Amino acid sequence: MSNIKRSGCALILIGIAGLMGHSQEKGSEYVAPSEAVLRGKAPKMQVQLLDPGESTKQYAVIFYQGDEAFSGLLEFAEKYHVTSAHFTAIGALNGATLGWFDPQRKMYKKIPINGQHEVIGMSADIALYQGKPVVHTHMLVGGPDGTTRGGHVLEAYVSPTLEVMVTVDPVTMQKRFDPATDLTLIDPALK
Amino acid sequence: MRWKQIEDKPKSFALIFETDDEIASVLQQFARRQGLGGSSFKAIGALSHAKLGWFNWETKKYDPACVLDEQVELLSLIGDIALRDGEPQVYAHVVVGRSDGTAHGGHLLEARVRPTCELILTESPTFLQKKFDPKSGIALIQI
Repeated sequence: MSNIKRSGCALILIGIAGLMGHSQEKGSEYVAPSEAVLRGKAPKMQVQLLDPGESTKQYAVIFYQGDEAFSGLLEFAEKYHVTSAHFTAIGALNGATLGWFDPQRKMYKKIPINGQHEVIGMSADIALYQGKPVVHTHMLVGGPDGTTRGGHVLEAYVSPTLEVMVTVDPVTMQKRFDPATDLTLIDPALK
Repeated sequence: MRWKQIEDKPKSFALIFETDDEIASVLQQFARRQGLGGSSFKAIGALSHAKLGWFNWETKKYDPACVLDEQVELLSLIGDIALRDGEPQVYAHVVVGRSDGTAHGGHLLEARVRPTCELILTESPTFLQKKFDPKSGIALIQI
């Protein structure tokens, strides 16, 4: 199991899973929901507070060429102590891995996005699991002929920019582990 | 479906749907119970069944554009709730992603959740609330 996980991880880093001859390897096309997110992959990310608000705060989080947006958003949430937020984004990317949740396997099937694409829509939220922020993001991308694909965001390499508008709520939203799916789900009743 | 109020001004809620909840009908029920005026919302999640509509200008009705009886990612759900004769009406557009990443979109007719859907709903200021427009048969913002 750990071998499969390791090779899956390596494929993410290389980002050309289809070309590596591993595509037949069972499991390498799937990733567990609990997979750890690496840090430090969005060094150019910039954050601007747009509206300090008395309770709700608005931020612009801007990514630049080569930044990996998903890990960057998690770093933003950690650094700014976000306990509940939602956001939308537009921009463009060059290379991404999206996921489709397979309820039987309880894993995300990887959907590789190769080359330059428009980020047509990105919707997301942030809640806490065991005291740490979890970013949940979906994305719709458009290719050179306008056809669209989309999924759960596993990683997205920004090119040239991604503009994320974040609303941070003055409350705490908690997640709990759901054994039926192996996912962490938001539970509004949890304090 | 469980919910939590996350803000007072403007009044905002997080609605968390669970497996087998149907989004449109649960939302309408929620709006009625909370006595909400016009509101807007957005959501992401995943579905086991989706029925998407396309507005037929000739018949002024939504034709079923696409029925997906399979697990899909709910990539984007953006919509609003307007009052029609005092009754909340849900109006929403949805984009879903299939297992190969291809996307389908349309007007929300039916969406059955599996395993979760995370929706943020905000009540609109009075001046942005919608009124039923008999010409098109849908609720439009009347400024």
